[in-house]
Amino acid sequence: MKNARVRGGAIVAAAGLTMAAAGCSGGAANTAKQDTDGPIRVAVVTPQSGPYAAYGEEQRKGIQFAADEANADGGIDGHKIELEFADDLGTPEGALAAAQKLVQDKQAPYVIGMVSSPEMAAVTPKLEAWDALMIGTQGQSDDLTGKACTPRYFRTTANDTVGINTIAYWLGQEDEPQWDSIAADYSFGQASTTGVENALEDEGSDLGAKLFSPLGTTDFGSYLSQLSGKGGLVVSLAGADAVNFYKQALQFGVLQKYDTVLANTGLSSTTLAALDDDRLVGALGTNNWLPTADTPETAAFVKAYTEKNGEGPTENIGNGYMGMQTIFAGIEKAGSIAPGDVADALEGLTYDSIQGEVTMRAEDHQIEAPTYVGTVERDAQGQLILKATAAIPASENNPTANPDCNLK
Amino acid sequence: MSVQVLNGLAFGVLLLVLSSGLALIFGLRGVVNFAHGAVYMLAAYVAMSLSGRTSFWVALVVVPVVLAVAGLLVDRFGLRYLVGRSPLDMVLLTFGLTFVIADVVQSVWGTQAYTIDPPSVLAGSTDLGFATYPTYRLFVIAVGLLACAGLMTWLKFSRTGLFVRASSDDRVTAGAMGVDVDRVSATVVALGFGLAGLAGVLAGPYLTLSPAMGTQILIITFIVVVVGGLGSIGGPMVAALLIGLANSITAVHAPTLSAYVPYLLMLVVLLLRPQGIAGRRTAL
Repeated sequence: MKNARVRGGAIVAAAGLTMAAAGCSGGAANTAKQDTDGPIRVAVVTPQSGPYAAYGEEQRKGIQFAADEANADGGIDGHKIELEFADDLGTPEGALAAAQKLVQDKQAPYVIGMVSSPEMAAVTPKLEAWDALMIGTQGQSDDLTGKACTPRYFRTTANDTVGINTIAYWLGQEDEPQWDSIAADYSFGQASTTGVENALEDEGSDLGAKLFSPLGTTDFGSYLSQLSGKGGLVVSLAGADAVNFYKQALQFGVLQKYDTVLANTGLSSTTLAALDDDRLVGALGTNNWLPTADTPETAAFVKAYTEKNGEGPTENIGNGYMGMQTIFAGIEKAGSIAPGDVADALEGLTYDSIQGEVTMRAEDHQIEAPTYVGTVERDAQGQLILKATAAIPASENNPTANPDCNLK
Repeated sequence: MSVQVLNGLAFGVLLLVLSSGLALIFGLRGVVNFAHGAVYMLAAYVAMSLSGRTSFWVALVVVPVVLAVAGLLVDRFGLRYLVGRSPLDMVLLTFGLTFVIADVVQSVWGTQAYTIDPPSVLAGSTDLGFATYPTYRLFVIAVGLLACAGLMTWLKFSRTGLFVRASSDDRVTAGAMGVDVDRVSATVVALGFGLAGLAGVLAGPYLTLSPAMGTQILIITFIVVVVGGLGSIGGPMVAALLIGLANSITAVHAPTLSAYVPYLLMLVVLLLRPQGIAGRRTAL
């Protein structure tokens, strides 16, 4: 009786986990049919639950705002925008199932909104067969525009290399002789740490502690006790890990000991709002776009968004919005809403965005756009913000196409 | 090194409080309570809102009590009717609860992460002679150990504790001896939910609040219960501290291994001693 019960429990647990993990995929390669005179149908595939749910929500806000704005203006090239939504659960299987459902059942061939690179990597190989087009607005893996690049995938945010070049460029301006580093133990954190190490070597500075914490670390105590508190600290953590780390580092009194704290991407508006701690003022952060960036286009977007929503856009809201700007620019250039025509039009296209004038590089479909460095400040409304202090041009952050990809 | 031990203890104690609740419920109702992580998360969020309006201390007392009442209701109007049916039915009930709670949390508090400041008495660091250590973590260690000591004393020396041990050892015989097993089970499920609530309140100022916090910790808590021995209470207590310590010490001395440590420990225990550390299915 006892054993049967225990075994029953184990089987059920395993079944539950399998159910949660499995998604259906595959399916015939029937193509998306979209009326050439009809609306532009966009498949918004985002995590609505799970660890990336907060990012998903930001993406949706930016995408929705772009669609509403375009529709209020009479549409793009005479076409209204229609959004279809699905939850990808933050997993590759979920992303594939959700994207397939929206592209094939709802005839929405413009896919946007995924958060992590593994989600995107599950979908990009299918895009041509589905006659769809996808815009990457968050995942940073180099491979998506490198050895796994495909003709129908375009990335409008920074990739790992761009992020590292941004940090390296900034480190080149500093004369701190000693640094520590803590990074998430996956491709983003590892790539960032390698980049930092090389940059510091060129500078003749030392990298002392070099720590990696597993994704989803809740307790950073053990890592914090290994940080020296001398010189500078580079933090390459994202999302909830970043929030956890900063909060505990402040509790341990470690963060305050460093002369300089530099965050690779992690000091987003949402992280700063969650922490809301004055001791972070003065910390430095990089990002692929900042709402405080000093361009007229950014200022106009922030103003319009704030007027409509009563609060300013976060970085990822801007990323989602910029992804939509890219689809619109491609459609306007192509004069067609067929995804194949739009893909051709986007290659090498220079267009206006919230980051000013940007170019979609033809060779690897990676955007050429500035990246930003900022300092944490308290703004007039009493919110902690990352105030952009410098823009690093594409010629510095992303000078050449990924050699593993040649689409042209 | 001593700081690592403290780190291990702090996290271990959190697991300790959570896993004793899980183990108690399993002992009496024979169900792995999938909702345990969700209850823990709900407690953290409710405590955040409540401490904003009143104080952390009010939340520390009120939230576990409220959740214990909720546990009582879940047992009275849910689990009790499923006794004797396939274990799948009970698991589905608790599995379903996790989805309901997760969506409630997400629609009330949103998907973003939150942090809570510890109450001002516990906000700073304490000089322990060999190191300075955040006071709030010391508080977590103390409260968690006290709660578990209280639980053990209750199980060992009180009359209800005796009934709990008897019922989880053999509910049929206990019932035949005049123990009202349903009543005992309701008490235990309530206690289990209350302990998850306590862990949630304690976790607020220590970790970060996000809709994923329940699932993250539930997996480790399951491992703790399996390593400790399903159906035992003492075993998981030892296992919780062991896993907490192993985690913090490997994070320093073998960082590449640290993510695997709980799973490796589970593997070793399942291979060498599948019944878990406690060995025998007893209440203590």
